[in-house]
Amino acid sequence: MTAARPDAHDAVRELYAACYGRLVGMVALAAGSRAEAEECVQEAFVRLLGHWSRVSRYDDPEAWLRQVAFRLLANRMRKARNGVRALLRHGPPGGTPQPSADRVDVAQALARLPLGQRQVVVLHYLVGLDVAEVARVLGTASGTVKSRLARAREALAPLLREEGSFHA
Amino acid sequence: MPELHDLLAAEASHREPPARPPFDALLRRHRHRTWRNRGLGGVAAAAVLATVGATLPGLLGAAGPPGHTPGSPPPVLVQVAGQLVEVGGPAPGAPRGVPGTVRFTGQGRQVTVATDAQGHFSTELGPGTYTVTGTTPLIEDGNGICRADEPLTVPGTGLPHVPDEVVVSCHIS
Repeated sequence: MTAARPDAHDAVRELYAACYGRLVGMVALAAGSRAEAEECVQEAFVRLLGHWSRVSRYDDPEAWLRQVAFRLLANRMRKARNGVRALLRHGPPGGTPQPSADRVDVAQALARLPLGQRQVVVLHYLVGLDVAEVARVLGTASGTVKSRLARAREALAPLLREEGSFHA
Repeated sequence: MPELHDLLAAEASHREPPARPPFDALLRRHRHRTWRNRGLGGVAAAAVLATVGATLPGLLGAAGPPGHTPGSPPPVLVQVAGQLVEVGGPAPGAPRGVPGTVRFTGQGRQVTVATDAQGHFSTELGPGTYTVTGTTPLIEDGNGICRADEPLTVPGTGLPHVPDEVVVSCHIS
């Protein structure tokens, strides 16, 4: 890692002001926690300071930040999961109320998905990346992304009553 | 029924934080990390030179700094960083960085370094143990003494870590 120069600081500061909130909102959807998302996005910006000379030449530095933040999230969750694997074997907590009939609760629907499926749903349906791009961002195979999307669609469809809206 | 994209976008918007932390806080994290990495790099480089010096003393002596004894390992300098802060007072809150000077005393010499406006400082020190004190014009007109909680130990060649950030506290009664 190299020290960022003052003009790099200004550029990153500008990017930080422009897209910090948007990135946190996006990552929070996958993380299920704003605090977790903020930590990942802040760490991504800290890393950006060390890589600005390279990333500044990219067409979309925000995409680099998003990729780093999503990968950090996956790493954090993996570590946490290893620590509480036995607990997670029991699945999500029971007694979660179903979404009311007149209100689609997308947050609740997402919360029922595993992290990997939440990530592909956010990157594909919200960010608009195709399967290959999602695979690149997450550092995984396209086939894995396809299967996660398929399982997520299957899980979300009855909750969101959105069968007609899914067009991957 | 809205599209999934619209639902997700609305939910993401709801989850955006009301405010973002100061950018300077991220800069400090980055600088601290850079200093630590440089310190580690310095230790690693010195370790390599010391090893080479054992087999090629003439070559190492020719490349040594002024005043450096030919054939002996070059002095190791480790980057040390920290912050001068004020703590306590009538309405104590989180420690607040203050400008001033920080002095490292040890190994038969003193090193004095000025801080920036937020109390941040960095310098390079050789291996050894140092007493760290500081002063700030904001407390007792510069006559109050600020201290680190414990002496600072700078590792020598081959040790596995550099010191964590040094905090020099100015206690206000």
